[in-house]
Amino acid sequence: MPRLFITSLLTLFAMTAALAEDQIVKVNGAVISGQIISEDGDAVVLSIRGIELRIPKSEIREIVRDEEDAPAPTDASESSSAAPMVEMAEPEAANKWERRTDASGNQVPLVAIVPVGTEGREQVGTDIVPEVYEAMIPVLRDMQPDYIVFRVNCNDKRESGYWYQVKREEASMLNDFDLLGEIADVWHNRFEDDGIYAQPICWVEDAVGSSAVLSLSFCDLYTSSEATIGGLQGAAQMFERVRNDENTYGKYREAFLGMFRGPLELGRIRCDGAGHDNALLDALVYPDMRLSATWQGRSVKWELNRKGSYIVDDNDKSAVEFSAKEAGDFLISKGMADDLSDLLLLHELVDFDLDDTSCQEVFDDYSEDWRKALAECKSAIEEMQELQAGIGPSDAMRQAQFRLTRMKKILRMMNRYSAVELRCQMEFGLSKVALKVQIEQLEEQIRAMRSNDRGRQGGRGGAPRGGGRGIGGR
Amino acid sequence: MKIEANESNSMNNRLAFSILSIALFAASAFAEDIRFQLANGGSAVVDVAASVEVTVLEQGVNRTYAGRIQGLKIKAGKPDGQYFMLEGDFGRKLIMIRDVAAIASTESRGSAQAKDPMLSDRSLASGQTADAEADSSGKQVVLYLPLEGGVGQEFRHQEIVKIGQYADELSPGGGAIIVLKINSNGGLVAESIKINDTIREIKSRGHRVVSWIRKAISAGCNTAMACDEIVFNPLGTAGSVTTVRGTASVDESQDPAVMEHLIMTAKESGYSEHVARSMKLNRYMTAYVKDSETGKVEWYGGVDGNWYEPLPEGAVVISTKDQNLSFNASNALACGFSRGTCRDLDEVAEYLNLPDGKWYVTDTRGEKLAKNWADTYKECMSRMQILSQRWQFKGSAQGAEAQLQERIKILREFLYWAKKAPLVVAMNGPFGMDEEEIVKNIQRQIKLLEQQLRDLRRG
Repeated sequence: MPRLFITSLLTLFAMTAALAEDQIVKVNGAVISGQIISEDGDAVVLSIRGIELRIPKSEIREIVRDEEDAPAPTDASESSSAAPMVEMAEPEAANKWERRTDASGNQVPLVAIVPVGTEGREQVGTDIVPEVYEAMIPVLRDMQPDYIVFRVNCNDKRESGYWYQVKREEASMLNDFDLLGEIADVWHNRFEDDGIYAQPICWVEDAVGSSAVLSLSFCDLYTSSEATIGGLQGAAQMFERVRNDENTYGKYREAFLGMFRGPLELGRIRCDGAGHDNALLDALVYPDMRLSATWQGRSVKWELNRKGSYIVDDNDKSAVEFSAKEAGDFLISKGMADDLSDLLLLHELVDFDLDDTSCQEVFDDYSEDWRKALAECKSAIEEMQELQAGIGPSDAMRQAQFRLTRMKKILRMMNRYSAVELRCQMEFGLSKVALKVQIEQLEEQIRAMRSNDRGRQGGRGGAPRGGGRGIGGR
Repeated sequence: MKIEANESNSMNNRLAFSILSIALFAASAFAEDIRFQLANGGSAVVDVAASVEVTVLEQGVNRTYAGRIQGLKIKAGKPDGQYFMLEGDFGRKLIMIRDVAAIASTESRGSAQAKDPMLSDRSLASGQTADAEADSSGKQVVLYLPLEGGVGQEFRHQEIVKIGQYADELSPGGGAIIVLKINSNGGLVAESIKINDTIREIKSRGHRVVSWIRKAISAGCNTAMACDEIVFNPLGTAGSVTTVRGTASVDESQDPAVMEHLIMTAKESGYSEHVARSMKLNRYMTAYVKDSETGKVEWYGGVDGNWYEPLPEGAVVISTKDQNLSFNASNALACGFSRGTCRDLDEVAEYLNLPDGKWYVTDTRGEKLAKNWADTYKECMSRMQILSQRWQFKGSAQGAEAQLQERIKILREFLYWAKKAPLVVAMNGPFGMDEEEIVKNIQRQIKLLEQQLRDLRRG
C-alpha cells in the first residue's frame, strides 16, 4: 500500500543552522539559514550555499542575524518541525493524502516523485513506456500533488557500451521513434487532461540515451552533481547504412530529428516559450554538428556553428554531452542538487510533504513483472533447447505437448508486456506472429499423431506428403 | 407513382427557382456593406454581393484574386467566421479573412449578378444553400478523418473520397470543414498523387480541408500541403519529401515529375517553391525574412551552397545545402507554413473558431471510416503472414489430398484479401505488384490445385 511520507526538513535545518550565519523564521515556523545578502521593504534575500532565495517579509516572523544570539539548532528544528511532526506521528488519523496546513492555515505543498528509471539500468522502451505513466494517472489524480518531480536515472552507457553497440541485459533497442513523443505526451498533456495540475520539475541523476530527450522536454530541469546529459549519438548511427546516398541519409536524418525534437517543442509550449532549443538536441545527436553558445541574460542562444561566443563542440567525431557542471554553466539546468531536499530548496520549497512511494510502486511493479515474465520466457526457451539435446520426455507426443505448453506461455507473456515482446524479438528473433504460427503447426502435428495412433489401432495410417507448387508460383 | 414523382420534381424545381429568385432579389436589393478588418490593421467596406478584388498575403507574398464571395457568414455588418470562398476565373479558393491585405468591390451591386459570367445558377444556388445550411441550422459542418500509417496501404485516398462525400451530404454546395489528422512516415508516391487529386477535388467543391499534423513525413507531408491550411500538433513534424527507391534517392534528372508535382502542390496551397525544393533534395536551400510589424514573409532560395540573391539581414535559414527540410511546430508557425499549434481536437476547434472551443457539429463517420480501414489493414497483414506460413505445413500431416485442400483454402483467403485490400496484398504478398494481375494469378493457382486434387482423387 502506498504510504505518505512527510519530510519535515528536520535534518536539513539542523545541519544548515549549525553552519549558517543568519536565520529566518517564517510565519509557518520553518527556519531557513544562510547569509542575508540584501533586504528591502518587501523581502529579504538569503544566500544558501550560493543560491539566492528571496523571501517576502509577509512570510517572515523573525530574522535572527549572526551577530545576535542565534537560537540553538535544536530549538530551530523544534520550531520548524513541531507541528508537522506531531501530525505525522499519527498517520492512522490521516487519510492517504490528507493535506497539512501551515501555521498560517495555508496548505503545505505536496510533492510527488515520478521515477524515470530508478537504478539507472531501466530503459526507455522497456521500463520507461507510456503505459507505466498512464498507470500512474489514477494515483496522481487522487493524490493531487502541487509538484511532480520527474526523477530521471536512466543510463544506457553505464555498462561497457551503448545499447546500439552491444547486446546487454537491459537493452531496449528503441526503434519506435514515436515512443518518446508518446511518453512526453502523457507527462505534459495527459496528466493535465486527467485533472493533475501539478507543476513539473525534472531532476536528472543521469540521462544518457533517449532519456536525455525526455529530460529536455522540461524547462525546470535540475541535475545531481554527477549527472550526464547526452549519449544520443548512437541514434545518428542508425542511418549510417544509407550514408552513401546523401539525400536518402538527409531524408532519414531530418525526419528522425523532427520526431526527436517533438518533446522539446511540446515542452516549450507548456513552458510558455521557455525551454530547450532544437539546436541543442541536434548537436546532442549528430557528431558532425558543431555547437556554440552565446549567453543572453538568463538564457543561451545555441547555434550549430562556431559563431557563438563560446564553442561547445568543435569536433565532428562525437556528439556533445554535458556534465552536471556544464549543464549548469550553459543554463540547460537551473541548478545542482544531490538530494530531494536540496532540489526542492532550489525550487524555493522549504516546507512540503513528499510522496516518493506511490508512483515508484507502480513503476517497480511493472519493472519487476515484465522482468519476471521475461525470465520465465527464457527458462521456457532453455527447456525447449534442452529437449532438443535429449533432456526431457522421450516420446514424440509428450515432446510436442511439452513444447506447445512452453510456446503458449511465451505468447501469453508477449501479449501481456510490450517489453517482453520487444526483448523476445531482440534476443531470440521471436515475433508474436511467428510464435502463433509455430503453435498452430505444433497443434496440427499433435492432432496428426493422435490420428495416426488411432489409425494404427484401426489398421489405417499414412505418411504426410507434400503437394502443389510453392506459394505465389506462376 | 411516376407522375407524382415528376410533379414532385417539377414542384421542387419551381420551389428552387422561387428561392433562387428571392435570393437574387434579396442579394441585389438588400446586400449589406461589410466591413473587413485588414491584415495591416486597417479596414475596408465592401459590398459582398458584388464582384470583388481581394489581395491576400500568402506565404509572405501578396496575391490578388478577382471573383465573387461565397459562403461568407455575416454578423452585425462584419464577417462572422474565419474564411470565405472566392469564385473566379481561377476556380474556387478559400480565403482566410485574417490574411486579407486589401479588398474592394469591382462593380456596383445592382448589376453584379447579371454581369458575372462565372456566376452560374449552380454556383449561386450552391452558395445560397451553403449559407442557408449554416444560417438555418446555425451549425458549421465539421468532419474529422484520422489518417495514420503508410501512404498507400493504411493511409489511402479512398477514405478521403468518402469523407468528401459525407461533407457534400451534410453541407451541399460546400462550406464544410474537413480536418485530416496526419500521422505518417510516408509511402507510395503514386498514392500520394491520387490523394492530392482527391483533396483538390474536395476543395473545388467549396469545402475547407485542414491538415492537423502529428507526423507528416515524405508522402504524408505531400498530403498535408495539398490541404487549404496546416496546423501542427506540438509534437508534430513535417517534411523530408525526398523520393527514395530502395535506399537510393531519386533526383530531378531521374524523375522530374516528382519534383514538379510537389512544387505544383506547394504553389497551389500558397507555399514557397523553395520550401518544396528543399524538402525534396538537400542541394536546395531555403531562408525567409519576416517583417516584424506586418508579419509578411519573404522567401529566398538557393542551390549547392549559393543563394539566388544575397540574404538580407535577419534572414532565417531553415534549410542548408546539407538538409532535407523538415519542419517542427515552432519553425513552421514562425514562417507561416503552419497557421496554428493544437495539442488536441478541442484546440483544433478553437483554431477553427468554433464556439466555445467545441466541435459545432460532431459527425463521427470519419473516425469510423478510419477505424474500419485500420482494422481491415491490420487483419489483412496478420492473415498474410499466417497464410504464408501455413502454406508450408498446413495439411501435410494428413496426406497429399488434405494438403491440397488446405492450400486451396489458403489461396481462396488470399483471393478474398486481394479483392478487399489489393495494394496491401501487392506490397506484402508473394503474388507480384500488379493489383489486377494478382487476382488472376491467384485464380489460376486455385484452378491448378483443384485440377491436381481431382487427378489425385481419380487415382
